[in-house]
Amino acid sequence: MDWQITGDRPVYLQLIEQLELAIAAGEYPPAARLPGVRELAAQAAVNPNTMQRALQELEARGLLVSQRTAGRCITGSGEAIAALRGRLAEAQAALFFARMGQLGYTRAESLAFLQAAGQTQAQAAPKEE
Amino acid sequence: MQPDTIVLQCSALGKAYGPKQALKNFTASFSAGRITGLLGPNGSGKTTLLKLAAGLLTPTSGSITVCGQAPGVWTKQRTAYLPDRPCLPQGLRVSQAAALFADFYADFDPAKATALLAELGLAQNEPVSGLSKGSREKLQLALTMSRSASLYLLDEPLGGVDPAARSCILDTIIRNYSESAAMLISTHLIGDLEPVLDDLVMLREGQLYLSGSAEELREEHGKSIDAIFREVF
Repeated sequence: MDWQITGDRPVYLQLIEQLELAIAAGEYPPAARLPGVRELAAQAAVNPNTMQRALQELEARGLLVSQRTAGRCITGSGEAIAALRGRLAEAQAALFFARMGQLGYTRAESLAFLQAAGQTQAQAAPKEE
Repeated sequence: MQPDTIVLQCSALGKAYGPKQALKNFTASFSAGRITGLLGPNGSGKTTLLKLAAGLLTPTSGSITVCGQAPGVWTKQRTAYLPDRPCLPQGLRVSQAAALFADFYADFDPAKATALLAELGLAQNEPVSGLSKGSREKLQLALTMSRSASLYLLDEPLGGVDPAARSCILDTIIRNYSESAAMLISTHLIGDLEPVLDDLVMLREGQLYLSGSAEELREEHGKSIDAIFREVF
């Protein structure tokens, strides 16, 4: 996967966000084996201890499952992944309204923009429906 | 060595070159399993500290110990030091340089060296004198990382190499560092090294200016170590 790590925020938070996105997007499918800590750390060019901390947090959130000898896997639970996607979608929606608020639009006006943009997209790519 | 055991301990350490005090009253400890960045502008005492730990200099005041012992033959067997300048004899080929390291250090792993050299694209029969600056730094790093030491001291491993070689060198460090060893890396290229560090120590004019966990400092200051560094210096 494609990592984008910047130095201006705690690195482990960025790792958690990007791993969650990869799990939600199915880049790592349910029940798939995750590469080892050191391999992931090298891919992301971060400290292995930091990667370890991020993986432990994802384990605590129920998105990763540790297997005693076989390393870590993505959770096989469809519910956990659906809940994650829902949580990420809610965050996106909240972000949209927050940004529109900064531009001075009310909730109703913002919603109208969202619907219009959705229709434009549907016309541009009708086959996706 | 267990993780979190103190490997390198400095107490009120000082080093003077004649009237010039290069390192003053420096106290810090470095534990196994952690990578520490040694940051500071030119002339702030980074190389002096690494050389003291490597046993190449003797302190003028205070004390320094590696695994509980004052630097000497015993500690040098456990310390892998990468100097900030070329250190390999010019007349050798890559394979002979590896043989030289194997001869010198009991903890040198020739199989690991062969694998690392191949990964870094260094041909065994290439003469050392024919290597570019970046390739020579890769060679020295590969040989240093092929030891299984308790303490790794890397002095400016990213100095003077291009960005592609930099990420290659970082990758080598991440994949090969040992959880039972402490690692100190000096640099002024903080941006590149930043995500790799557990802890950092900032030196200014030979004195400890700031130290702590990299993540906590980022959280506390709300900005990158690079930005904090720029602000301070």
